[in-house]
Amino acid sequence: MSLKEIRKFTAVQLAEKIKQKEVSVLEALQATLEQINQVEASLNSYVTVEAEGAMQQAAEVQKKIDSGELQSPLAGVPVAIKDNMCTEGLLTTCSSKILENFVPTYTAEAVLNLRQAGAVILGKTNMDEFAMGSTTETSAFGITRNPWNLEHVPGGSSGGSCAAVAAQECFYALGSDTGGSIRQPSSFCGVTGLKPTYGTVSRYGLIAYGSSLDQIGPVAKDVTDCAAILEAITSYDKKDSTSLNRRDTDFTSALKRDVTGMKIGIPRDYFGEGLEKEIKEAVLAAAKTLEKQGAIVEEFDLSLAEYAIPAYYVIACAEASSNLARFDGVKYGYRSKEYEGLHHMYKKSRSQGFGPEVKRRIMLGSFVLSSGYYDAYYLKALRTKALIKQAFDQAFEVYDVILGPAAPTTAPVIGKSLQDPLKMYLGDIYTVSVNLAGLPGISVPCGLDGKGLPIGLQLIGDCFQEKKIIQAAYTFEQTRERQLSPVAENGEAGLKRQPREQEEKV
Amino acid sequence: MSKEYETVIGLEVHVELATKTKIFCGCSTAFGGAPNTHTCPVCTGMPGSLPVLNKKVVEYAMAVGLATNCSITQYGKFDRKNYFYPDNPQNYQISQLYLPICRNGSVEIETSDGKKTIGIHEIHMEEDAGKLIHDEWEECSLVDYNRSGVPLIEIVSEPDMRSAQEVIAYLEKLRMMIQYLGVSDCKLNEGSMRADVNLSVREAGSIQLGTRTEMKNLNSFKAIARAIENEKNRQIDLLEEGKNIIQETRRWDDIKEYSYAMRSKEDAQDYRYFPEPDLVPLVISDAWIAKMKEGQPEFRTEKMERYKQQYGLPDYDAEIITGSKYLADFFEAATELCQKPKKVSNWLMGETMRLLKEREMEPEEIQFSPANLAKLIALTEEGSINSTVAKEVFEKIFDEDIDPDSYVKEHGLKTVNDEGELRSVIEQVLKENPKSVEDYRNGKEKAIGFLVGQTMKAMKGKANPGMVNQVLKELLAREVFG
Amino acid sequence: MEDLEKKQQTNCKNSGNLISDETIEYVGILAKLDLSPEEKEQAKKDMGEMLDYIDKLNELDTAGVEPMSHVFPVNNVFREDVVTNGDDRENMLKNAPEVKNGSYQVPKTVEGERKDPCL
Repeated sequence: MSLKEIRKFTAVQLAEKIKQKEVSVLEALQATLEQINQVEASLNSYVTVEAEGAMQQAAEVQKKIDSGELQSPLAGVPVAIKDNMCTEGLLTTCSSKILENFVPTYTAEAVLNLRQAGAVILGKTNMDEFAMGSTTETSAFGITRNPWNLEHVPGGSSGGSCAAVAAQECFYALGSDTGGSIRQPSSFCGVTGLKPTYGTVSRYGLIAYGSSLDQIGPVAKDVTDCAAILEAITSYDKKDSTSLNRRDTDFTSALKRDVTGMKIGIPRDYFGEGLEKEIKEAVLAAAKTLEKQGAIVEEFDLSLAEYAIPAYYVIACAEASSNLARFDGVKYGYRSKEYEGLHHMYKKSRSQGFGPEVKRRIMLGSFVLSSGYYDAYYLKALRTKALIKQAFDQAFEVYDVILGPAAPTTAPVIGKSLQDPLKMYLGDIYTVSVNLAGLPGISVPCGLDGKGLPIGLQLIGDCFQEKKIIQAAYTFEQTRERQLSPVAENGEAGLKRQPREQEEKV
Repeated sequence: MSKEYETVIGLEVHVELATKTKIFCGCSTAFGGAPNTHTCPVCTGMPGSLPVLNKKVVEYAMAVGLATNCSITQYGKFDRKNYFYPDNPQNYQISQLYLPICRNGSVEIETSDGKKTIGIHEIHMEEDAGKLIHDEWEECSLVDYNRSGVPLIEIVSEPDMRSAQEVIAYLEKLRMMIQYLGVSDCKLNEGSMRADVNLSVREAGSIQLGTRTEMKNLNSFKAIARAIENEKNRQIDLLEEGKNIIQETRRWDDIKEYSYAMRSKEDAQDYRYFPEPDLVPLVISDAWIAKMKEGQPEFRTEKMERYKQQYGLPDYDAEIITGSKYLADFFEAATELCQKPKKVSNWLMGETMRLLKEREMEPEEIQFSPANLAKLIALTEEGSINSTVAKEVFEKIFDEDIDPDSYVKEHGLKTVNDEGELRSVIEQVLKENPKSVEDYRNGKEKAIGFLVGQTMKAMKGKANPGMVNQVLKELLAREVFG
Repeated sequence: MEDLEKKQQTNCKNSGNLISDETIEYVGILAKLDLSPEEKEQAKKDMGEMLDYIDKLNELDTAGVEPMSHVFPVNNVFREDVVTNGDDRENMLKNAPEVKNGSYQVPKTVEGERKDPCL
């Protein structure tokens, strides 16, 4: 079997081939490394590729598979990890200069769980610095390009993970989602990404951005992979006080093509001003498809959607200002070379180590918590959060799943977003409320726009109802062909194929 | 001074809890490890690490709250207090601002002016900071995180105290209660108990509180008393000069006996508290409170009663010994070994107290073991050493915790009970002191005292005094009639 | 800072106006960020715009709504008081920019400037 053919497999398919001895773990790894060699220089999905370490792991995993010790449905499959999850002995930067040399002494629980399942970790993916951004342009280590069109961003903050999966530079990846950071780049890159219920995947070892909102989740080629990966990374972790002891974690059992009688709600407020027409059409067409499959689809008013963004930015920035205080040049990371005294060392190290977007959010977060403003901003945001949760609770009394777009636009052109931060923040409108309410959400590809850029359908479930959104997403997915990015389809050749030029030709 | 002033004092007392592990991680709290040998990703603030609350810390805080008549907060939370300093690895301290575990308590104190109740505003749990060592050779400081994350409770009093005397009485009462609870050793000099003094002055009769200052770095009761006196005078002087008092934190220098303001441009004193998102709320049920109440230990009054009943100690002894949990525990341990409660009590009340005072030590700083005191008592009881030798040996025990059995043997301090040897020594003494023998014969019975002394001197103090007396009298009588 | 405190009294309509040069200076001290003059100007503008946008929350009547810090009612997560960690100093110090005598080396701290409230 050629390496190119191997790359076409989903993670679950590949593991099965490995089990059947049709493909070796090493071949699977070589397939991804070959693609990385071909396209990484153009895409920059990774901060670190650890080929040598991955070879070693591959040999060990192969042995365990051969001896029957490893039975997991993901055994032997190469995976990429977002660079905000600690990996022992492997550089972990959060795509920030302030952690440019940080080598953790321990591994994040979610990554340990993957190792247990026989994953081969081949590298760390690029991201917006400290997960702050929607384009992966705030990375200190260069932008990542969208495998569907290199002039466009992959989305963010898990842009590296999503681009790597879309470009077949890995079979699946882990991302993290604080305000849409898995679902939005998944939609921009035409891959499937799931943000689990808060507390489902341990945060131990995930470098915090907004602690009350952060969740790790899978980025994959399809819904089946997502379910299998989620099953592998879910665990009750005593090292994370917010970890939940769940029993209903057999997520793969929900991979059924059946939505008969499922009640799906479409919030009218998700289809208002600002939503691109093509996205609206694609998403409503997806709703029609599910209706045809037997679901009961209704429009309703979710309300409060417009308050989610301001509430989110107050809470996330406040927590971030505190979470990122530890980066001070004392215990790890970057320390400025020239300074006079302690406080100057702090200020210089942090000012040189953090990029503009991170500084912007730390400043805002420090301000909203400062004396005299705490009630007006922070408590107000927490009250708004309570109301948003209430609104969802009411909606889920009626509906099994809420359906909408993952983002108001498809992937923007590189260099256009950061000039107007507020406008960039508004792009999070369909994703942030899910984090505020702790709910699970999945983004599945549902078509391409006129520029050939992917559109994502978002399905939101009530807390602990991952299975419902997995089942709905799986059913929808079964009605259509999986589309590959040009880079995945044609490797190096795909890099040159620029839809923009095509458009002009047409 | 033209006007009468009243001093108003409230205390913030930090107590390090005697748990085996830190408040949010499984690192040891043991004292004295090499720098940073009791650290892990959590207590060094490594990226991605998360705190998990030590249950014992909650129980210890509740125990102190119940002992100080506080109401227990049944729905509590932790908050982050944000400030940059290198001894604080996350640059925030996990503490409790909005919903502290205990509130509205009180402690009764007694001073020469009588009894008084001091209100407890709240008790909250928090983590301790690491230690900064100032390098002697280079312009730098070194950070040791062994203490980072050691559990603390902060006991915040109401501004109910009016004098240093009341402050000390309050601190002594707190310390005794906490030691009785076994939740901390409360050593001021080692920092396991730390008191910050909030002090303001106002014209006598005024109801309004004056502007207060907060005084830190007070490492002994004496330092506290001196700092209070100093700060009171400083504030009164300012008022007398028509100046304003600035609300600020000051640091006491006990050697130079003055305080200075701890201020810097970088010090905004704006801690940006917010609920700690990495920890979940703390819910304390009625059943848990009831269980804690049941488990409260024997306090002083009960112990005092028991000492009188069980050991037959006089009131005075029982009161002194139970005044310190350390002394009480020591007393019980030594008594258990030698079964001589009154003798143990005598050693504690007499020589121990004398040496503590001489060495300027607190009872909890006692270094010697109950076993060695019990051995010493056994030696005196069996007549192996006399009381003079015993005192000498005790001082060695007190300072170096020596084993009295081997010490007495090695230094040949055992009382000589060999009559033959004694007889020949006494015969020699009588021969050398004919004047005293003469005097005794002539009816001056007091002269025997001198001869006893001379005999003891010749025997290097090791003679059994009773036997010396007996043999002397016998030999003197023989001389008369022989 | 008096200036700032006065402004805090006013309600938060058009909060963007709250962001003065002093505010940026003050928040820089809190956050330990040293911004260049251009960055300060930019921060003033960005923060002002963001706060004006956040003022949208004032449209919502949240009277009587409990602030929700934790989204799920999970309580009482504890560890037992058992030592689980040994000496891992070498690992802990591995990433430190400057180390001396088994400790993290920092610029000299002055006792007087110490901010730790529990000394």
